[in-house]
Amino acid sequence: MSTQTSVVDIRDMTIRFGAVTAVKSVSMQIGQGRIMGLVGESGSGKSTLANAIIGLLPHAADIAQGTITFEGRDMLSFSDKDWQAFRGQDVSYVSQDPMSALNPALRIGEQMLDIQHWSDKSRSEKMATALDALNKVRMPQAEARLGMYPHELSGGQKQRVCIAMAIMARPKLLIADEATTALDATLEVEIVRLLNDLQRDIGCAMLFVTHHLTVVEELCDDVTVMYQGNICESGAVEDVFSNPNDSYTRNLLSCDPSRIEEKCRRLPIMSDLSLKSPADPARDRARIDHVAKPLLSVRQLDVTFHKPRSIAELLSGTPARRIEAVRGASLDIAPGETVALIGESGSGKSTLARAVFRLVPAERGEVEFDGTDLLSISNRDMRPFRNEMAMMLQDPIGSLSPRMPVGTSVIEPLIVSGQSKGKNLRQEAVDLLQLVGLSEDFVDRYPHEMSGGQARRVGVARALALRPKLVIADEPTAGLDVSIQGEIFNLLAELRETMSLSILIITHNLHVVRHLADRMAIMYHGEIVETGLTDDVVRAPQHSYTKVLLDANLHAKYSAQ
Amino acid sequence: MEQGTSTLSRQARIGSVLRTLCSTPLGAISLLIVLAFFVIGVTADFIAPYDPVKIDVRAKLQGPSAEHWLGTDQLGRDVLSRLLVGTKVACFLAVTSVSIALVIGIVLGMLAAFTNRWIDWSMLLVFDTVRSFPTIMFALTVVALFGPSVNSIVAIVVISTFPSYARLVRTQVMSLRNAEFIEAQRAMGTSRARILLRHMLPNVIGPVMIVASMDIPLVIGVEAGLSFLGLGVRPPTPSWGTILNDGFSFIRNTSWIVIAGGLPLILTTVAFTTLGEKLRDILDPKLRK
Repeated sequence: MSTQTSVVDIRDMTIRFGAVTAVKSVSMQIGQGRIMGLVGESGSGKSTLANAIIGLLPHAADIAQGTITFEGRDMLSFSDKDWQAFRGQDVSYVSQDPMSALNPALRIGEQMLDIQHWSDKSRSEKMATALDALNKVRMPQAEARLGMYPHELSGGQKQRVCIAMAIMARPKLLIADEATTALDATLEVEIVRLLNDLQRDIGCAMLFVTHHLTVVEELCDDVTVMYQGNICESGAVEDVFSNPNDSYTRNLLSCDPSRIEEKCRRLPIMSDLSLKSPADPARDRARIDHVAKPLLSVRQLDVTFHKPRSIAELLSGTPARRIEAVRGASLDIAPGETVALIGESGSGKSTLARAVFRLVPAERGEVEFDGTDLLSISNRDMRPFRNEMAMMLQDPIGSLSPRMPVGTSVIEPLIVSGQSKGKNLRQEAVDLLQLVGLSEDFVDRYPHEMSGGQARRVGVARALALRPKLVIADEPTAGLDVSIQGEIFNLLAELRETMSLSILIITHNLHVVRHLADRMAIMYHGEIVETGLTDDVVRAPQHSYTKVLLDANLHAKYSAQ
Repeated sequence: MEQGTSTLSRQARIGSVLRTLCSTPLGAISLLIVLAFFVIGVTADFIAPYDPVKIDVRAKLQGPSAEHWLGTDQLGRDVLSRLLVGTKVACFLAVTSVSIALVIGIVLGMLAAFTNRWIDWSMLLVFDTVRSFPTIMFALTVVALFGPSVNSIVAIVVISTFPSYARLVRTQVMSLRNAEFIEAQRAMGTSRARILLRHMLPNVIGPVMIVASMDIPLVIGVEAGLSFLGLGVRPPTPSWGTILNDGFSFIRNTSWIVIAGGLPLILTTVAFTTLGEKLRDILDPKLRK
C-alpha cells in the first residue's frame, strides 16, 4: 500500500474535546482505490477521525496538532466554501442510520436532484443521473422509487438510496460510518457486497468504519485498529487478521465469537482471554431437565394486529386491515434449557415473546407455563406468573426508567409484586447489582450515566430480582462491542447454572447465540420454520431460509495463529 | 430508601441547572426578578412602609421623595406600599390558579392518554372547545355572571389554561406509552396507577412546569387587565391593575403612577417568560449542547 499514492494522508493528528484527548497523534493513509476498514470499540475515536476527514467535527473538538491532506491539498486551511465544494464532489458520506439520513418530507427523486446542486446540468439530465445511480445500487423498480417518500421504503432500501446519493458525484473517497450496523444480518451481507462491487466500478477509495470484524474481512483491503485514541495496528487485512502483531488486535480477534469454532461454555473477554472454555455436553445434559414437563409450552399461537380504522373507513364499512404477526407458532422450553429464537426483524419473534407476557393479545393458541394456560386466566390470576418469568427488552438504557436511580429500578419487581415489606431495600438492590458484577455505587446512578454494557447488567439484575424460572431476553447484546457481548453471555450462562434458569434468547446474531443456546428455533414471516439442537441446525440446516440465514452471518476468513 | 438514594444526585442536578442559568446575564436577572416577586409576595405586609389603604388627602399626587419613594396617588396613599401589597395579590393569583390548572390538566391529560379512544376523543373535544374561546370574552362573561372578585379571576385563568396542560401531558404520555421502560413495567405486572405516577409523571412534569412558568405572566396580565377595567380586584384593595387604573385617570397631572404601576408588570412578565425559555433550553436534552 505504501507504494501507491494515497488519497487521504493524515499525519500525527491529535484531536481534543476539552481535557479529553479523543485521538492521539494518529497517522493514517488511504490509498487510491483501496478500501480501508477502521475498527475499534465504541469510544475508541474512530468516528472522530472519520469526521475530521470531512470536516464535520463538533464545535467542542479541537485539532491540537497534525496535518491532513487530500490529494496533496491541506484540508486544515480549507475555507467554508472549499469544504462545501469538497464534500459535494470529492468525498461522500453514508451514515449509520438510514432512517434519519433522508428527509422525510421530500420524495426520493427530489432529494437526489437536490444534492446535484453543484452541477449545471438540466433537470431531466439530473433525474437521469439519479435513476442511473439507483440502478447501480440494484434498487428494484428504480423508476417508481423516485416518486416515493422515505417512509414507503424498507430499511435496506433506504440505505441503498443513501449509497446511491453518495456515489452519484463519483467521489474520490466514500466514507461509510457503521453503514451496516443498523441492518439485519441478511441485509448486511447484501449491502457489503454491493459496496464492494460499486467501489470496483467507480474506483474510489473507501473508508469503512465499523466494529464488526467479519465485515472488514469480507469487504476491506486494508485495516486500521484503534484503541483509546491510538492506532494499534495498520496494514493489509490478510496480514493483520492472520498474523496480528499488537496485543489489543490479537485479543479483539480472539474475542470475536464468529472466530471461535468449537462451542464454548464461556466466551473469552478482552480483560481475560483465559475465560474461554469449551462446552461440556454432559454438563449441559445434566442442567436440562428433559424428563419434567416443559416449563413453557407455546402451542399454535396466532397473533394478529388490526389496524384501527379511520372515521371515513368506519362510515364506508371498510374492514379493518389485519397484519398476521405470528402464525401457528409452537415452541417448548424445558426447565434449565436455553433456547434461541432467531429471525430477521419483522419476523414476529419479539411479538411472540410479548404475547407470552400478554403485552399483546393472542388471537388463538395456548401458552402453557408450568401447567397453566396463561391466555385463559384473568389479569389478576396472571400476576403470580409474572413473578416467575422476567423479560429483558432490547434497548439496555431505554428499558430502564430514565428519571429513576438504578438502585430503585432493580427493586421495582419486589415492590410491584408486594414482596418488599420488611426488607432492607437498599441492601436488596446492592446484592442484586453485585450478583451481576456491578459495585455498590451504581445504586445511585441514573440510566444515562452508564454505558450500554453496564445498563444491560442492570437489566439482568432486575430480571433476576424475583428469582424467576424463565427469562426472555430480546436481543440482549444488540449494539454492544464484541468483548462486552461475551461478558453478558458469560453472565447469563453462569446465572443459568447457579439459579437453574430457563432462558429464551431472541436475536438475529447467530454467532454469539451458537455458543450459549441448547436449541434453536428459526422464525420466518411469523412462522417457526425449523427447530432443533443448536449443533444440528448449524451443521445441517433443513429449511431453505435457515440456509440463507447461516450464509448471511459472515464467516471468518482468516484465523490468527 | 426510594427517596434517599436519589437526593444526592438530584441536589447536584439542581445545582448544575442553577449554575447554567446564572451563567448568562439575562438568565441571572430573570431568576433574580422571579425570586424577588415571590419574596415580596409573601412578605409584602411586613415590608410596606405605609398602610396601603390609608388616605391622606393633604399629600395627594406627590412626586417621589425621601418620604414616599414612589410618590402618592390621588388620595395620598403611598404608591410603593400599594405596589408591594399589590404584588401579594398577583403572587397569590399566580400560584393558586396555575397550580389548580396544572393538577386538573395533568390528571385529565393522563386519563385521556391512558383510557380508551372514545373517552380520549370526547376529552379532546372539550379541551379544544374551551381553548377556542377568546380569553377576554370569556373573562367578561364570567365577571358578568358571578361579579368581580379574586375567585372569578382564578376560575377564568384555570379554565382557560388547563386544556393546554392537558393536551401537552396527553401527547407526552402517548409518546412514552410504547417506550421500552414502560413495557418492561407492564411485563412485571405493574398497575396502571403506579406506571402513571412513578414512571410517567417524572418524565412528563418537566415540560409542563416550563409551560406553566410561561403562563404566570398571563395570569398577572389577566388580573391587571380586569382590574384596570374595574372587573377584577375591588378597590380599595391594591393590585397592579387598580394602581394602573388610578394612575391612568391622572396621567395628565402626573405620569409617575402609571410608570410605577406598569414597570413591575412588564419586568415580571418578561422575567417569567425568559426564565421559562431558559429552563426549557437547559432541561431539554435535545436542545442541550
